[in-house]
Amino acid sequence: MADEKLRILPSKKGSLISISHVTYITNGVKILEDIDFQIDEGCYLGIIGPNGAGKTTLLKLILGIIRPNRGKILIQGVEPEEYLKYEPIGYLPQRISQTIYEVPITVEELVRIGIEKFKKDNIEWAMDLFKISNIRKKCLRELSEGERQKAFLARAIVSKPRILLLDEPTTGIDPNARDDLLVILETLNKDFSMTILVVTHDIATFAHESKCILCLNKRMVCLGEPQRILKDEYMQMLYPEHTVFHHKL
Amino acid sequence: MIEIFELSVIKRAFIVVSVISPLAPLFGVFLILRRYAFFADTLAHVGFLALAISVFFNINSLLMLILLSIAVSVSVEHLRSKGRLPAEGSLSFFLYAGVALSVLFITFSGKTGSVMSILFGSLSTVTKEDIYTILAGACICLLFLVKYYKKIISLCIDEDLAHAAGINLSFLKIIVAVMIALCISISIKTMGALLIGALMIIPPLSAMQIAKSLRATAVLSIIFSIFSSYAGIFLSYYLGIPLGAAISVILIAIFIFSFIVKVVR
Repeated sequence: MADEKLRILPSKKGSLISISHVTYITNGVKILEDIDFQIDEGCYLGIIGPNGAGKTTLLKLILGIIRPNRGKILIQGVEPEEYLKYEPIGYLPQRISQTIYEVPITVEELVRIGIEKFKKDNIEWAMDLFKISNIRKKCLRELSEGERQKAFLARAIVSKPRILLLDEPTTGIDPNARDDLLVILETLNKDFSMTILVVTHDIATFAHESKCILCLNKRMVCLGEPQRILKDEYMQMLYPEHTVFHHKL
Repeated sequence: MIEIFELSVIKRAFIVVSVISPLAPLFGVFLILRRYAFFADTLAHVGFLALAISVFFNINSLLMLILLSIAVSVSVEHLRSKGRLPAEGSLSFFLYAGVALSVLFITFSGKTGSVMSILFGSLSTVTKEDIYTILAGACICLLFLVKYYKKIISLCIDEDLAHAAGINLSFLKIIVAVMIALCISISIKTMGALLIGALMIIPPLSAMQIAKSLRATAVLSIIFSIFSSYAGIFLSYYLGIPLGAAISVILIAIFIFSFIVKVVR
């Protein structure tokens, strides 16, 4: 049952990111198996699944940080390493090494490092968007987890990339800031045509925001529009032990 | 006081510290950010081996120093990135190998008297010919820092973020290792194999106690390093102690002062 794959959105040629029959194995353990789908330009994709489902691994494969054992990933028809030579990808990792909080790096310095050539407008725009201009001179170590998260989000978008990959972006931020983040992501997607991939456990929130949901559990469980995907029958495949939506209560 | 400046060894010492003291702490900032300070120690001990080999074969020690340090730094980085050996393990291996072989070469050379200046630095070990090599090495390091500063900081903050920004990590990591090796090589005769790490690590560590930004940390590190290097020359000359030890003592005093300032503030 868990291996069953539902393809609601058909593959299209000429997609921005093409993932073809990708399998990733490390230390003899299969992390991802036969992942096969395309992501069109301007897509806002939520990636959900239980712990160990391979969500973060999928993002790392798209970035070219790790290479698939089988299959291939192409971004605009070229391998991720080749794509990155010409254009950066906005990325928010799940975890950042704690070491950088021991060194006095300011919010502005962090955001500025995210862009190759100094562009004052981009830096101001990114900090204004996440409402962190007022703390630009503060060191990261003096900030709350939520403020740090916003600083890293601003860094991820400062170069106005075409592709934005976010791994658990709502971690550590309060409900108000989470709502702000959702509005920002919608703006980036609509007004700047950014293709956004969000790995999340916050299913209920992103169900309303993303245009498309990928349910992952080492294999693709299903892929499609949120209202068609987020049904108990599919959620049972992902989270058999738990009720994800309480709409029957 | 004036007579000190008339000595050619002192003039050479001033020239050398003027170029190495601003460079070493900048590389130190990167090493601290990457939690890789042990790398400097390992290369310094490999430098000890290079100097010991030079003493044994009676050859140009600075050239040997640069070549051996670069070879080891590239090997360590290669082993680390390929996952063949854990980083700490490969660093420890080269450190102990460097020390053990150095002792062998020094013992068989019969010139055990040179050990003090190799380990703790000296005002007189830098030759006239060395000056040109040191200046050339310093220029290469400076050009590298100007060109790659932002990318190195990005690499130090998070490798995955740097990769996503389009930075060629394998190339950058190797070239950073090579430049750190070069910086250590041109500094080691002055600072000594055991104390070159002090000039790289203590200034940024002190600056981090009071600075409020990365830029301020870098600037303060350079100021601390230049001040202690110049003051160290006087201390070494008038008290007759090895130069590396003199500079390190002043750096330690600066660190204690910075730490107290941080605690009081």
